[in-house]
Amino acid sequence: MSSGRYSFRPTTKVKKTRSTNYLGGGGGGGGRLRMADDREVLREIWDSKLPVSFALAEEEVYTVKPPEPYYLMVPRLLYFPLVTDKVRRHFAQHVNPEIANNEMWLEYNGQPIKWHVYFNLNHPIGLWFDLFSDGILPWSISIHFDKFPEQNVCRCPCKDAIRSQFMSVLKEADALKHKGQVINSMQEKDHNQLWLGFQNDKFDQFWGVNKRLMESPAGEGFRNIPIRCYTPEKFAMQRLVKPVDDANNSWTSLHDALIEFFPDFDASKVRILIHGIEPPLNSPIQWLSEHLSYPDNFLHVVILPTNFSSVPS
Amino acid sequence: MTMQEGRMSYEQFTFACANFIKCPQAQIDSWRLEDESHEFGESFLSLSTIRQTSVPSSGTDADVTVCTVEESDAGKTDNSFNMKLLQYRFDVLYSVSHCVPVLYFTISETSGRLLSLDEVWTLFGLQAETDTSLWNVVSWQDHPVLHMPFLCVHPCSNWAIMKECFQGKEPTCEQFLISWLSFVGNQFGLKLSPAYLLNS
Repeated sequence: MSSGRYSFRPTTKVKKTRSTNYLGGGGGGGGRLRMADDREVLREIWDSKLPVSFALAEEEVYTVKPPEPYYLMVPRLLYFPLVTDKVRRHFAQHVNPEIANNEMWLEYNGQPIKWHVYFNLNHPIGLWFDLFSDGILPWSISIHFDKFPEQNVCRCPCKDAIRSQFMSVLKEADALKHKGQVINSMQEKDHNQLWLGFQNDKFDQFWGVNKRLMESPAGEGFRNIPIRCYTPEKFAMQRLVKPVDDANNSWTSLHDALIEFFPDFDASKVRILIHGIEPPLNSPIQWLSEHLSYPDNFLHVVILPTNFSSVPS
Repeated sequence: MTMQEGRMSYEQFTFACANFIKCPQAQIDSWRLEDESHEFGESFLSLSTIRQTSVPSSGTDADVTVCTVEESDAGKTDNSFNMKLLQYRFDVLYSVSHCVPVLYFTISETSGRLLSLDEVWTLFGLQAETDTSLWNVVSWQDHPVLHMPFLCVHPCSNWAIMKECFQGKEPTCEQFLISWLSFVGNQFGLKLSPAYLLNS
């Protein structure tokens, strides 16, 4: 390692701003998480969940007795279509039978939730929560069966569609990191293992293959960092970010990566969230990419103005 | 990264688009350059057109050509086909991840209803039930600038085809774009007139 590049394991701490049971949960400050416990970080993020309360849109209730809300602990890393089968079964019997087989769509606070949105990427549940929900728990979501907003929301007809989307984002990430060489060298069974591990909550199965996507030459990092930023006004932005700052012979920090997106970036006016956590701005983006990426291998970073609220006052 | 290796930079892409739009054939065909946003990656080319299309009754394959120059085969009298007026929109954006252009498109009826992916596959003679790998070719995505659902042709292996196409000779930016569009668009009903290549 050439001089000037600091150790790949920074000693600064990641402060969990929310409760210890789930990342992004409301209520008091959580414990502290040392970045040095790398594998624990992976596991903790994998297991993070959000409490969600699903309710049928009032105008679609067809039965005399309206249905109870349906509560579910939902993994932050998954996509809604992967978790809503039970929700569907619960509510389908309460709507007009003519629409009961329609594709379900979700709404929060007047905004349809795009399960798979912007910039041809999946919109993981946790990302949506951090971006739009004001952190209020349980997260109250309305279910609809009628009038699918097809001008705004992509249809998700089946699991193959979700899988295809997931794999396509993974390929994008690897194109940025390794010119696609790692993912293209994998066999179909490896791709299957990634998808099934992800879909079925099998951490070891998933990481058994994913660790290869996280490899890079020592001291150099990936070719580019797969990263997208989201603000309430500007839903998804992508820029080319290098993990190493050659001019200073150091690892690029999160702060410097964000300058690529927002040249006038003022850290005092915003909150930076990844999985509901606010990492220190001097964290190396290479480390964040290896440990805080979503299963699609992208860092999806939410930037909120400190006075932001999506709830109309 | 060079164009003869099958990839282009965003600067090369925008340069190619600016030249493309000036070409007389592009003007005739009504391509538009959408570059109001100065954000990285958000310039794109767009073409909207309405064409009579022979749409198959169930069970038959379509023969669809949405041409910017040639008229579609409006004279078909085969009973297994209906003629329908369909609106086509093709947008050419840039993939930051793959460093190649990427095609987004929609096909809709004049009522505004978007054709479903199944209907589109049928229109182009593809059958999703038997070929699940079709999901890896085209699927619904959010248009990166308009934030509306479009069908997106996955670009991940385009670079290999482009590299093959140029065989070690560095093309101009415009030649790269036109060759790419000819190849990708052709699969989904967009045929470019040879006049494009003559101009570049």
